[in-house]
Amino acid sequence: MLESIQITKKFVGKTAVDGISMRLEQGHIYALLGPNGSGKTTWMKMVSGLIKPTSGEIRYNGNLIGIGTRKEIAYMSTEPYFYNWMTVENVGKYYQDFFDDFSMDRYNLMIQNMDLTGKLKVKSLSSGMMAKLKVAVTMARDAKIYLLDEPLNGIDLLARDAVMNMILQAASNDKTLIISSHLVEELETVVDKAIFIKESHLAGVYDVEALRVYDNISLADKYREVFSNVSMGGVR
Amino acid sequence: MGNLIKYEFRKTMALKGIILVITAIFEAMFLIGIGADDEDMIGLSVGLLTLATFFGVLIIGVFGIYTLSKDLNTKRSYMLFMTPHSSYSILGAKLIENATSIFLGGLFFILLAVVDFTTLAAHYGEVDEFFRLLRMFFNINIETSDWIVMGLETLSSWTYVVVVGFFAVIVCASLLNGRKFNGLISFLIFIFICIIFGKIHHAFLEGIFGDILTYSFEAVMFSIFYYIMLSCIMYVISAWIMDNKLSV
Repeated sequence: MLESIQITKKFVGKTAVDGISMRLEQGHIYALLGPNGSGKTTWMKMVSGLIKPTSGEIRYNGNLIGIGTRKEIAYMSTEPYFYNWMTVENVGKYYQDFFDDFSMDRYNLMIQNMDLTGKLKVKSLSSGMMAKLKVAVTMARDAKIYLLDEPLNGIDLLARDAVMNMILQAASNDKTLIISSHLVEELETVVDKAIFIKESHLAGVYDVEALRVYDNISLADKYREVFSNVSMGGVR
Repeated sequence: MGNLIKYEFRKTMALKGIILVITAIFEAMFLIGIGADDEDMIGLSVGLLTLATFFGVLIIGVFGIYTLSKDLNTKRSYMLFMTPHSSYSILGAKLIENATSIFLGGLFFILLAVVDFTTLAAHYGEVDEFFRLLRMFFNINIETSDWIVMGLETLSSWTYVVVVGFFAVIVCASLLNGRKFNGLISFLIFIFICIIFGKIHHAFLEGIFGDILTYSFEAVMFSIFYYIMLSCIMYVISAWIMDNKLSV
């Protein structure tokens, strides 16, 4: 279980995340939703241990986020972060060297499915190819928690399907997937929970099925309701 | 930690390749000069090889600090800080790579100089004289142990300078992450620490050994101890800041 307890991150002149408390259970796929600058990426980076919180704490199975939890948490940043000298093959080898849960076979299969080849230089990849590579190398880990920050950014429609399939293949009862995206409609079909973050605060955690069944509202319309106060009438 | 060290070496491979190629060009000039009996070319190439030695070792040291700066202040920082390694290991790997590279780089240039001077002496038929001078220099003036401690002092002082550079970069990345003048402030912190601890070093040497200009085995040993102690302290403080304060 992942617990975010009154977690706050302040930068000079801005509070990026303000007192967010929530518990995320394993066996679920969460959509992390909110407009640009709402604090989604900062929260994800705190969970992955890249950013130190100003106050509050994040625990995974009771343990504070730290070196130990990095073995079980796979984070995919929205920005490219590989070394310039790397090829697609080097990226896989790097992950294999550092993560015990990384499967080179799975990685090779994924890059093959994504029409990438091992010899391609990372610095020569288009934004779409880079997005595919990031997803492939992250999902080739057998982590307990996956944090995917905007995995569908810059990818064409067909590639999106391939990426979503790749992500869904990792889903299981002992794993937690957290996906942030602006493409709410795309996520609606695959996630079962949605976390709304508004102006650095937690605006709510919703069960997507319950929204449909009990509130007669789609995730996209709930998003509009929360963030723009414009009701679209829901999906019946 | 082995993998961290491996990738630190990989990051600096291109630079070392460039230094090697430049040195090879100067060396080729030197050999062509000898073959053609062109004293101007020999003189020029010896001068260029001397510059390559000085700047080669200097650049390898400074590049380690630059690499750390890139690893903390750009998105590629994720490559290091996503891995299940403590900052002590990450920084330690960088330090080991840098100290080893400086040592091997220095050794390479020393060996090259010995080979070149031997070639030069052989060419001009003065090999015996050259080796006689060399023996005189090694046997009469300085003991082998003195050579070793002087080498160790050079290595420890270089390592200390690199650790101070690391410290300055880490302090800036932790407190001024991504802000303007980050590089300039790092440099000023670096200079400030070097001056302060340099003055303390001199004060110690003068207080304990009196004349600091004359070579003394004990003074050099003290300097080695001083630099190693400072390097260890700076390393621990730097890694602690990274573990507890640094956000990438």
